[in-house]
Amino acid sequence: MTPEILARLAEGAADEVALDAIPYGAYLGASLLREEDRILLRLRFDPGQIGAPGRLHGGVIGAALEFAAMGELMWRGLRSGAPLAHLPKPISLTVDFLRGGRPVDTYAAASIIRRGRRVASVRASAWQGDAARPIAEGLMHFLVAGRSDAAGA
Amino acid sequence: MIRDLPLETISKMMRMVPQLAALGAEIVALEPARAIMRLPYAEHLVAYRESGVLAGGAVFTLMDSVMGAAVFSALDRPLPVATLDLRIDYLKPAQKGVELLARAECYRVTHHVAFVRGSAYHAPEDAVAQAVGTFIIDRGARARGAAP
Repeated sequence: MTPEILARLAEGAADEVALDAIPYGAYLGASLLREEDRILLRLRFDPGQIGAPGRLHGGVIGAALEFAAMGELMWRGLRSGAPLAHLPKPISLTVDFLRGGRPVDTYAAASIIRRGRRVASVRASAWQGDAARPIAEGLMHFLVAGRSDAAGA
Repeated sequence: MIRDLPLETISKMMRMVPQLAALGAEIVALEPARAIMRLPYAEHLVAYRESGVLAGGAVFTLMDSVMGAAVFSALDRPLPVATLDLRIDYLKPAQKGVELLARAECYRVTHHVAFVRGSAYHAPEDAVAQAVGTFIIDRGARARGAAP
């Protein structure tokens, strides 16, 4: 999720870039796709992502939502000429699990509700196959600038 | 309470959950309606290579798991449970190179819904993350060794 990989998407140099800059993203098989002027997150299915029998672990879905939100923030920053200096730092994340995640690829997309000077609030949705049938939705807040005196990863 | 299921049995069931095996996360302690898990530090769970700080998603997964285990241990018989919603506050970065612990308490169980809270920490009184969630209990399912 470095600005460089998003720049490659912006320039049209690639349609899909792996999230190798984030070790946990690489581990989960996450990549960012450009679909016109929006960014989609794709999580390639791996049997290691299973929680309850035949279902994706909720944590994996939560991670997908978080990555989609971070990707969208970085992307919007880049497109608006005000790129973020650092990866957004999550402050809080609320996930509603709507359907069980099947053992297939998962997609997620985010929209920014408000981007302030320090805090950005983002909504994200995850689905498999049909975007109109989300498996989970998330609302999260990130620190996007200033001193990193709060927030974890 | 599922007193007939010793920690060893539960641990074994949890080790069979692919995502937990992949993360190396395991159950440390279990008593009725409470659970403690550990997540060993690993390079591939990191968000920033430079700082070595654990990714929020990895902490979220640990919390979801330990909260599910607390719900499971609050039931009178083994039933599948599924997360309905989960909110996590990331209080501070998890330390590089140090295992992360998480504990959860299921403080209310109704017929279909369980209410849980928990925290992740390196030292018990110094939380890295705080979480609250609700889980659905699948009463219609037959016990098939379903882990949280």
